Amino acid sequence: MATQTYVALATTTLSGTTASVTFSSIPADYRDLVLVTKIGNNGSGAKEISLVFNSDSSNRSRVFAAGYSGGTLSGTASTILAAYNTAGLISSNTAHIMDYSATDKHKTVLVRNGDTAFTMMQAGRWASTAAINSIELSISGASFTAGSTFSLYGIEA
Amino acid sequence: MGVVKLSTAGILDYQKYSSALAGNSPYIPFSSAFELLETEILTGSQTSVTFSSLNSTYGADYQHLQARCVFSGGGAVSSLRIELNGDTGSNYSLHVLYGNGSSVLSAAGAPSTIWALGNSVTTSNAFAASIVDILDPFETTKYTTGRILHGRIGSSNSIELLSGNWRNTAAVDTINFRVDGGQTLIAGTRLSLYGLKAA
Repeated sequence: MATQTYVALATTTLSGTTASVTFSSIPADYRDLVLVTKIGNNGSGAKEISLVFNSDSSNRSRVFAAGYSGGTLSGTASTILAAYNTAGLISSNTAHIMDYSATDKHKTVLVRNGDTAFTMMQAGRWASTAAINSIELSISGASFTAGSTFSLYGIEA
Repeated sequence: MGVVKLSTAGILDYQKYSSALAGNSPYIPFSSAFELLETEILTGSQTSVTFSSLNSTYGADYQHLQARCVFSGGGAVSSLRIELNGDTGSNYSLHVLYGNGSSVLSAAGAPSTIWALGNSVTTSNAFAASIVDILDPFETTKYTTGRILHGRIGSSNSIELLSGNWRNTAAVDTINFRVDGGQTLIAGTRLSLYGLKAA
C-alpha cells in the first residue's frame, strides 16, 4: 500500500540577519531528508553555505560542477555545501541527504543550487555512520539576510 | 459507583455547542501527492532488484515515478543500470553533463540496451546516490524519458546530471536495477520507488 510522504518537518524564515541556522532534534523516522533553501547574504562576492551534521565539521568531502558566464568549473573540497550564494542575489537550493537515518553507511548528499550568476551541482559525503540528528547552515564572513527561508522535509522508505 | 451531576450553575460565561469538537482546531489529514510505493533495502548481496506490475498496480493513480537509490557494488566500481519492461534491445539513450573534480564534461551515449547511470565507489561504507525521475511512465503515446541526478565521492568522484529516453511507447510495467560487470549490489543498498500524483 502506498504511503504518503515528503513530510514538512520544519521551516524558518529569517526576520533579520542571522549568522547560522540549525535544525536540531531531527527524528530518525524517515530515510531521506530534503533541505530546500532560498538564501541571500550580506557579504561580498560568492559565499559558501556550509552544511555541518551533528556538530562534526570534520569528515566532510565534496565534488562539484558549476557553470557561469566565464565558463565551467569542477573541483573537490573538504566541506559539504548547501549552496553557493552571490551577494546581492538570491539563490534557490535543494539538498537531498540520502539515508540520513541509516547507521550502516556514510551519508551521501546531492545538491542542486543556483542564482542568476551561476548554477551548481554537488555530491557530498559525511564519513560517519551516525544517524543525522542536527544540521547547521552557516556562511563564512557574512550572514544570511532577512527573508532567507529554510525548509526541511522527511521522506520515508 | 456514585453519580456526579454536572451543572453550569457556577459558570457565568458558558456557551452551548452542538458539536463536541467545537472550539478545537479542525483535524486536517496529512495529504501529499508524493507517495512511497515500494522499497528494497538489501540485507545481503543481490544481483538485481525488480519492481514489477507497476502499470497494473499504480498506472491509474500516478503521473510520474521517482526512484531514490543509494548503492554500492562493494569492492568493484560498478555503474547502476536500469532496464524497463525487460527490453534488451538498443532502445535506450542517455546524455550526461558531469564534473569529476578537475573539469566539467559532457557526453552523448550511443543507443544502448540499458540506461547505465553513474558509478559506485569502493571506499568502505561509502555509497553512491542517484535520484531518477521517470516522467509519464504510464503514458502510451510517447517515449518514456528519464532525468537523473547522480553523485559519488570516495575512491573516485563525480557529480552528474543525465537525461535519457527509452524509445518505446509501452507503459512501464517493470523496472530492473542492477550493476554492471557481473558485480552485485551489496548489503545496505537501498532502492525506493515513489509515485507522484496528478491533480
